Amino acid sequence: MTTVITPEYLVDGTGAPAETGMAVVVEDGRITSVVPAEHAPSGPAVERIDAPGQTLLPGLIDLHFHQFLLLVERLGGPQEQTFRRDPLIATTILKAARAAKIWLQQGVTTIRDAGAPDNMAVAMREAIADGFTVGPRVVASGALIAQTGGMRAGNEDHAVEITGADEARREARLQLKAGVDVLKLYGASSIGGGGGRLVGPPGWPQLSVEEMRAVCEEAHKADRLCSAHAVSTVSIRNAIEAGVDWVDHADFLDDETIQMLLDTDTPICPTQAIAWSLEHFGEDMGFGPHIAKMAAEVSVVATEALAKAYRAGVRIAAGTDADNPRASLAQECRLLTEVGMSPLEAIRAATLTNAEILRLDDRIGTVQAGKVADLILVAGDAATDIDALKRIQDVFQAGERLTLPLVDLSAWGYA
Amino acid sequence: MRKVVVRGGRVIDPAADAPTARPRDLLIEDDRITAWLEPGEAVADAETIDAAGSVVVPGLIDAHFHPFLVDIDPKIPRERHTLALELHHALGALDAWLGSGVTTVRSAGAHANHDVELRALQRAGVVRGPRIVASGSLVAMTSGLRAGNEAISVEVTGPDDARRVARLQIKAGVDQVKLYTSSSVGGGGGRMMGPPGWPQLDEDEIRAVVEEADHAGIPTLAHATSEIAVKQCLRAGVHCIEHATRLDDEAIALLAERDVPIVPTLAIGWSLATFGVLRGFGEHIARTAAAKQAIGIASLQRAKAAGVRIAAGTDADNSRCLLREECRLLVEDAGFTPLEALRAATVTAAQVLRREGEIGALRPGYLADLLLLDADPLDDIRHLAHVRGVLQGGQVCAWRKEASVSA
Ligand SMILES: [Zn+2]
Ligand SMILES: [Zn+2]
Repeated sequence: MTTVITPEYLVDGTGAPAETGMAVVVEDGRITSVVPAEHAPSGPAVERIDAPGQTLLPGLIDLHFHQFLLLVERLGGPQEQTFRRDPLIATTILKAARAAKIWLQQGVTTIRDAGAPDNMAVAMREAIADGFTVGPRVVASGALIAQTGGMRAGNEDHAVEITGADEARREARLQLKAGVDVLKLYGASSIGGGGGRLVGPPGWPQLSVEEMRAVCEEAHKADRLCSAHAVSTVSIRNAIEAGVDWVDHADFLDDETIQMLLDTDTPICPTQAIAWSLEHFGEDMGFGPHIAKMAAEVSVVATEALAKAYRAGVRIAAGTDADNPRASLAQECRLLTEVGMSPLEAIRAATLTNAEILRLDDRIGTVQAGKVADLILVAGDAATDIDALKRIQDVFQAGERLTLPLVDLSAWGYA
Repeated sequence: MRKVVVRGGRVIDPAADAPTARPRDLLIEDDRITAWLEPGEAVADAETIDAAGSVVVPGLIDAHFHPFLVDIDPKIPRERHTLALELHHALGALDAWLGSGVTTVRSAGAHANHDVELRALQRAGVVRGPRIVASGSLVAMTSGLRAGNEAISVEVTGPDDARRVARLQIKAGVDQVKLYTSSSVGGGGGRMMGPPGWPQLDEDEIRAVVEEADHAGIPTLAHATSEIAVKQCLRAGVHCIEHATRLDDEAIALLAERDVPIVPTLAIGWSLATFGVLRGFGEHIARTAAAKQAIGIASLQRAKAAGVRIAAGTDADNSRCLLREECRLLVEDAGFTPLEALRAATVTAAQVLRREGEIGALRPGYLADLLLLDADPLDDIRHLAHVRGVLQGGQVCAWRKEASVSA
């Protein structure tokens, strides 16, 4: 079976300018050629998809998503008391499957699940790969490896808490055996500064360099990856020193730390979408006003730091850390353009750069012959209007065209 | 907004260069001092607190206090202490301290982090008393605490174990982490009687705790009674040394060089030496206390001469052992000027608690914690005993009933 897609614009994910008049030829789930439309194969055995006014792009990759944290329902009460894990494990898993579908229908064909209780992201990876449920390709982190007392009260189920390099190493080894692709370190407190009753400085450093290094070593021995949640300057430096493959969040960057990122060629995954959504919609979602205020305060600092890092040439990935559908990867790309990236650069971050970081760039991340046909069509010219990413028309997973929407969000009041 | 003017008093601001009791009115808005006023200066819509004839000083800060150890009869064995008994005495002690002009205490340790709970009850407005800055359980070495006293500590062995406990303490919400780095002055572990103040936690264990506290942005304090223990603590980065009974030149030089304050806690030694027997302790305890007191005072004087900062704390185990006694002992036994003693109980204690800018001075922006005295403590430190009224966070929380004079 051969499919030929002829969009108005083609953005291939490499950062190259958009092309017009091109056809993408897909056979057996792969892109076999990208040719001028007039040279595309034709005939009764060829399915043609014409997409006038639309841009064809690689399926997006979210480097920081939590299937087990995305909610569309309002929170029931103060966040400390009602965390998102449902008392019924089946409900928890069904909600995660819903989250996977929601991200897929927003054009995200690959996610790195950045951490879930009991290594459940591994189970989601397999369930999706085996076709039990529909969702993006999953690259799985396990339970977060955190320091003793490191997780905010109520969030502990997302982590395994350790003290000492040996305990960290043991947990890393167990997770690798359990099938984790990316070991995830919790190298700093949450932005709120919390442990339990303690409200410390935002993102204060947690886990020692030695503890993190032990985990990185085990990941790299097994040819797997390791990333760290790091927020404060010291925690970012600790993570780089320990040898992580990239830094998640990296909110408080100073010049010296930016230089360290450059010297070690360590990318950062800033996750601005979550703070943006909390700042603007937190109260709708059932959070107290202090959360919106805090998100606004941190994002002022983080945005400035990110702009600096971008200008200095730090590699920047795209991830959402979304806990709600508004914190979409399209929104993250929009926010990346607000710190100075061009739409093409923001798209590259969400496609090829993320694929490179996950070492999947031989298979996904661009619209090029030989790649898996994970493709999306959006309305408008995405190379000049980044918000085109919010107007998804079609999603192809390995050449398979999905029937959208997979989940009707209007029932929960989302447009 | 509630406005109050404290009128007609003479105000001492111990944070000033050469403070004296000067006529000055204080404007309080809600819980803070917002302005110094010229005597008599009018303020619209303000209540008045009449301070005529009084000397006004900042609320005192006891930098070493154990709310759950005060006034429990020493004849009741530790294992028979119930939570109700301890709580009853804790509330009584807090009341007594507040009435004597102490508006903030640094709790230097309480079992099961009960001081953190008490702090929560204070913030909820359920319990009154000096504002508690809590340490929770002490981090001690395995078998470090004297038999019967173990409950106040969590015992650790090895830096990873110490680090884990520090992390748990931080999550539990302590304001600082307290280390127990040397034996009690009596030398006890269990049946073992070691040399007084023998070093217990190792330097790498102490350092692990300090690192965790630094990450969380909170200070550490260490019980350290001998020179070896003090030096280990300083090398490991501890932020404040408690007791500091025996110091050698090297320890003093390190204290001065790293600008780490000490809290000598003379009051407890004085109290044991003076009323120990009366309170049911053995003769030998009273004798040891007196001997140790002499050593502690000599160390203190040398440290002070070397420029080490000194904060006032009581380590009280009974309600006669008040902070004003600590101040008096600093003057009468250790040769401080009254101003130096007052600063130890206000400005320096606030630094030790990392609450400078909030408490310990009478300046705009500070919490309105203040004490009205009948006479000037800079003339005679014993005047701290003549308390007419106490305000905490702008609220009158103690006011002496004047004897009514009839013809
Ligand atoms: Zn995350
Ligand atoms: Zn003590």
